Amino acid sequence: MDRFLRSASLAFAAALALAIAPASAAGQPATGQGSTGQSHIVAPGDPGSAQYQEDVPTAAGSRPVTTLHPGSGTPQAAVPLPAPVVRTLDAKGTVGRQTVALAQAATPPAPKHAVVLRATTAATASLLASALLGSGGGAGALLPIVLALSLLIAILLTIRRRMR
Amino acid sequence: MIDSHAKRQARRLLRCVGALTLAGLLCGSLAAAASARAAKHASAPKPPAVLTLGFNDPELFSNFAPSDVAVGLSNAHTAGASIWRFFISWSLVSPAQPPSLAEAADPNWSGYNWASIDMTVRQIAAAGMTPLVALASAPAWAEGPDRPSSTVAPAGTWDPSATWYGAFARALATRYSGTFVDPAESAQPLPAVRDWEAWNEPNLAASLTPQWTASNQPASPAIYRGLLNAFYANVKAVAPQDVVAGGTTAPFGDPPGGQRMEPVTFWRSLLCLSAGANPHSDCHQRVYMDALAHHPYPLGPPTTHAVDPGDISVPDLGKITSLVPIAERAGTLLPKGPKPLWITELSWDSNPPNPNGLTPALQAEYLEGALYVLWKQGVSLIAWWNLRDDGPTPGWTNSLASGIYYDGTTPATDVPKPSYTAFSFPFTAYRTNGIATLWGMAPAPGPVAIQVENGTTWTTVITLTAGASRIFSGPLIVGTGTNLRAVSGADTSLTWTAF
Repeated sequence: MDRFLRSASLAFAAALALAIAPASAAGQPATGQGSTGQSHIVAPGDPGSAQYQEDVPTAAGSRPVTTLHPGSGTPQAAVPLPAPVVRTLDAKGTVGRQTVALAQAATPPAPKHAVVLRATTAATASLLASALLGSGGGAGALLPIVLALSLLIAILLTIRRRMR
Repeated sequence: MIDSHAKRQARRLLRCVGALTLAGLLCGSLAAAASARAAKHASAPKPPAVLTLGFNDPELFSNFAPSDVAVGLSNAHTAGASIWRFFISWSLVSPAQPPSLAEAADPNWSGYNWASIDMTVRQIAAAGMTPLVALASAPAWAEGPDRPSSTVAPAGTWDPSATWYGAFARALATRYSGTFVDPAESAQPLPAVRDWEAWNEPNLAASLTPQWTASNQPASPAIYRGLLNAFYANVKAVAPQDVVAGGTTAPFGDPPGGQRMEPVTFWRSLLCLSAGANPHSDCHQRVYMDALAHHPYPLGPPTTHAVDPGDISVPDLGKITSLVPIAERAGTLLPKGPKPLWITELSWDSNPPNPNGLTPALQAEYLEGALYVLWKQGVSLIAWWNLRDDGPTPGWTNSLASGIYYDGTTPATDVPKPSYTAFSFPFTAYRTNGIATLWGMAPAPGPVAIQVENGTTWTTVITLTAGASRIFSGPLIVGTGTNLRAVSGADTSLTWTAF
């Protein structure tokens, strides 16, 4: 029983961390807060005309993001970045800002049935994580599990205490 | 006192209860997640059965003789284009005000200058494509009162008269109805125009003013609603089967009072929907359109979302389509029914010739990637901006090196870029969680072999079928870095590396 409770507690803690981390990260903007200026977003290949460039407010005023994509391969999946990470990357100059900008990228959803050419354990784990966490950046289906687990552990602890 | 046997049994029971509860919760949650996901996707537009491709290229017509234009249009058609979008300037066709609305609605009114439009429509039809016309730019006589200076309101933008715009639209739709006798070839009618856009980028002050009221409330959506409704009513009165697209918005905006209104703000105001997470009807004006049009100029790769929630880039079309059922339920968007989604401008520049452009290979990859990302969101028509590169301007700010052909001085000597192959035989394999979604448009219907690079050889791993629409798709589990390509008859797509 102790082992079960320890495992359950660990699982609960891990699940809670998973549930909270994406949700808090998703709540952070990829650029600085406090609109004291505008930042033009101009990636290579975008139309040069200002009317086709996105302006976003930044804390540091006008800062052109001149190279969003260095030009290799297909973009990666979305990675919401917390504000401290954004600030750290911003401080690293162009390369850091590129990283922030790239974190905005996302990929289309996977199909339901696939011909297997080569499957990996990582892909399977990733699929399971996706099923649990959903694709919105929040806790997805994990939140009710975490809440139910909390309730279950509390009940188990109470029963155990009474048995002693 | 409880003996040890009873204790063990109780513990065993507890373990069973715990395990069963956990299993139940897990199954229930997964089912709930799947159900929520299904419900979320139920309202999103489905990928269309047919994806129509085409071009814009004003310089082709403005810089070249008709014989060169014909070569350019032939190049476009050979690349797989079936539509050609071009602008009609209301002010150029009708520099003088017709004496009455009745004469304004008559294509035979002597004050109209139709010659160049007739020629353009004839040439597009002769090349085997259909025209898509955007009518914009008001003559000075049709602009509203209290006009500010042209630095505030560029020529042709100030509060255009919807009544006169509608009358002109009727003349236009009549002339290009497919039955109007061609004055240059009296034995034949002028070719028909069946696809229309009312105005162009009405959320930009460069196109329509004022954008905002004195108190920084949206002004242009109401002006545009009047123009679009007048255009719609008059075109439909002539040819009910014609398709009129509305919106035609530019992708990015500024804070209230700026030169550009965010497209989300514009669309919501146009559809009489409130701001916020749960938009609802906040006025009772109706707007009519058969299709939704937008220009999702990019911010990098085709999967990059706009940073500002009010902006709409390539993967953000849900910000528009999600409003449609709400507006239809509220009765502010008519007629009810499916609304095709058109992307009538989009581009990436290449280097060469623009030093700020992408490598030609990456331009090609982004082009075919965008075709997939847009199709997946329900887009049924895409008009790429530029068949051939524009002539250079300082900094390339007023011209685009976004063609699928390098400028070879004349269309006859133009040289195709890799993006020519991406346009004529797009193939993508976006990979998510190890599964690649194979998608493409073969040059012709029939079997399409999907091949994987294995050292120096290519091995066919699956054969898909392109239907009459030329579209083929299917899933494949692949590892990172796998090189894939599609082969249809003698044609081979570009190589797509799955990351």
